[in-house]
Amino acid sequence: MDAIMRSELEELVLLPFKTTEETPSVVPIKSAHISGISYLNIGDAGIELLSEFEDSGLRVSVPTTMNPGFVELGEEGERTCDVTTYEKQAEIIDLLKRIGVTPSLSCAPYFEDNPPNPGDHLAWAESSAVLYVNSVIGAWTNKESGIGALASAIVGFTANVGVHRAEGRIPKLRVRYEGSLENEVEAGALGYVVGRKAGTVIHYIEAPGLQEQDRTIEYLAAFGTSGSAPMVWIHGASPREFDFHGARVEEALFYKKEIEETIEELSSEDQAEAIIIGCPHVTLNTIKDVAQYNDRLALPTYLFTSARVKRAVESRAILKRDGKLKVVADSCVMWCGLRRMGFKTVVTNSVKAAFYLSHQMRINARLRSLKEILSGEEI
Amino acid sequence: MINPKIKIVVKGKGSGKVLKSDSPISFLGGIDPKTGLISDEAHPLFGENVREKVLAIPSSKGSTVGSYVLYSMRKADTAPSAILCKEFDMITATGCVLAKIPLLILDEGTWKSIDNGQFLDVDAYTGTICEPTGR
Repeated sequence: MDAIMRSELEELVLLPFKTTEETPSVVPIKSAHISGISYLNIGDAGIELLSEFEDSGLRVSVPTTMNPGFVELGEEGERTCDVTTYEKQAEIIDLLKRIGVTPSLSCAPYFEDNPPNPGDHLAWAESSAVLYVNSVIGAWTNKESGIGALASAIVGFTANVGVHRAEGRIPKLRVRYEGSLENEVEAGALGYVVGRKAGTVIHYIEAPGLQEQDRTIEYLAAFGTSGSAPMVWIHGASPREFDFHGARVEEALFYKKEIEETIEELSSEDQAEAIIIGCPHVTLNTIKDVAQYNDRLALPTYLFTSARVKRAVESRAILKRDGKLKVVADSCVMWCGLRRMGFKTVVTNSVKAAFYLSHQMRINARLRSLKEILSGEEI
Repeated sequence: MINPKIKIVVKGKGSGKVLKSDSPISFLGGIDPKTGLISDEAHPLFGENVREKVLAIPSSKGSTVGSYVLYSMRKADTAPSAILCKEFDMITATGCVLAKIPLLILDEGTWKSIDNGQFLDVDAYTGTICEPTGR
């Protein structure tokens, strides 16, 4: 095995300049956030690659956080996962810790202990987080690959291209939604169809009801599933309004019917066996809200969040003992426990979760808003 | 003949049958790295195998873990022999570096000139693509 040289990582970071005539330039970064943590996603090949990084003595030079994995750590987590998978996941996290990455294990690091400030240049992976910090906080990061973000974290800079430049943040598509979004599932479905249309293009969107935080988050997460642009201008949610100054750009109009069809397309009709909430990871406030409905929950309910939030839930005794509600820390909703318990169909309020659960874990998903889920009616 | 409009991102050489689509692909959840099969039922190339093919897609989409999927495919011997894109994206580019898959970014004209199913020799040292001689 050859050692990975710092110069090779610099070359990796400068890849975007392979397609331009200009002299490569870089921008120093305040923080990095890396994806590619889950053993489900990176497998043994990923462990091999991270071992090469660790063995080569490479260490991060800026605060760096990590995405969730495939298991919950600790005794509770060990019970919901087979031994081999648990050990492999622990090995990935351990390798990254030795490289200097904080084991935050959250896909919403902007709500955790390293939130970016407006105008900060970052090298973040995890599409939903990249979209949130660019579009809502006003930080500047391209959608890095998981390993590209790690390379940037080590060398301390990223390529000065794309949305690191003001001209790279200009929307080239203007989207309007003809209707009013009722909940976060509709917002997610809209994000999914707009992502298919926009692809790599940054868009501006006006959609009544999209400004509420849970809807904005689900819109961006779903957009990141079908599209590849790293930011969106959301009327009413982005830090400032984009002024087109009368400039003509391509326009697109979406209707309620398309949203309903998309929800139907991504949703299963089978009887669900569990409720999955937390893609992206939920906040303490959401858990408090859901906990109030503990007795009305029709199915075993799993809420996914960071270990920090789970500790707060436990210390404040928010959950009933032996209730239907469980909080899972450290893990993505693509969680080993779902496989272990043999669930074939689940209910979720996340379009992104519905897409990846069916594509990666062959688990069907029914899409229902959190309000519908908590209503106690048949879901 | 060298076409200056073709950009070389990852050097190398590869040949094979072209698998072309105008729909971007998510490497994570879109291709099974163990087999090389395109597993996204909604993708026009669903059911095709990318192993030893020249994969032509506009760009990748979706998860930032995609580069690891390409690396896993190299380790499992299911990787495409070359990738041709219309637009640069970091997920594909990083994955191709790690997996040693030649990667070119094509101009519109060259993109249109290649057909699904034809055989191509890709030379990502010089930035040329051509039909194999003697066929």
